[in-house]
Amino acid sequence: MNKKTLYISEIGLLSAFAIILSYVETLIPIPIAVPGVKLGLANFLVLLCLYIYGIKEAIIVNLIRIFVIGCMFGNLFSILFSIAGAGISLMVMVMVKKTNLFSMTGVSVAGGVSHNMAQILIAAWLVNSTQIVFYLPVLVVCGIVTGAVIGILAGVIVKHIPGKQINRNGDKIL
Amino acid sequence: MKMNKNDYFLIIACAVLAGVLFLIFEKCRDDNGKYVVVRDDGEIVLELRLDTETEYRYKNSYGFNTIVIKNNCVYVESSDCHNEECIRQGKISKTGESIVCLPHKVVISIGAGNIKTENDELDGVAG
Repeated sequence: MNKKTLYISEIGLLSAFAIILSYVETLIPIPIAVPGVKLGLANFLVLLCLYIYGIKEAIIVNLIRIFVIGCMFGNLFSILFSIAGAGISLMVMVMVKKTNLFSMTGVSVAGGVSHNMAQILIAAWLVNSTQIVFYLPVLVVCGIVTGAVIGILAGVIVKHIPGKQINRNGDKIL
Repeated sequence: MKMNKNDYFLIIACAVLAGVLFLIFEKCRDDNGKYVVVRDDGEIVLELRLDTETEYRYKNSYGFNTIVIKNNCVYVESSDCHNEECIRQGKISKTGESIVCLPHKVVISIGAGNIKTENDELDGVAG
């Protein structure tokens, strides 16, 4: 098959999977419902993209996911809010990955924690009130737990994707 | 899949951060949460007693939120915001907890309130 076709279909497949995970996430109620704070299931796919392909692909899949989910369940406001959180989280994950000190689990934990922190700080800034910062400790703990679970799972999956053990930059995974 | 030493270090660092933040907030927390404080774009616009049974329809330029106080709990019963996230956030009853309606810029939280300290005597008279 044409390499480019394969590439496009792979990105499409990963985006579809990310969209489904984002949707499943909306069905799971979480007790602390601060706006924008989620379990971060979709981060699983973003993490896989980051390791299997690279930064560019992780950004593409993330944007497609946020845009489609935003059109189906949200509006322009929620899209922008999600992009802010996802962008900061991805930036942190890329930086943590670049240090080469951490495994996928560490990168995922950093992503989860930074996502939750970013969302709550942006929310506090938007409503001009520091009241909701009260939830920060709980959210950091949530980020650690979901980040660790997702990181471990993604680590298992990456090992079983044939022929994709080395990403486009030639970095060896794990 | 394997976690290395640095991963554990990162997790512990994050947990410590959460613990420290928790202790700081716990220290600053006003335990005297007798009031439901409604903030609109950061400014206190309404203070209601938590131990009453009441329903209040707060309206601003973005839309409305119907706030219900019942059995020492506060919740948003209805709202015309697009995601109804404020309704989904359910009931709150403890000091420091809050309900946020992001699209309306409204934060409903439980705290000691400001009006009380200023008009303490008046409140007592109105009792």
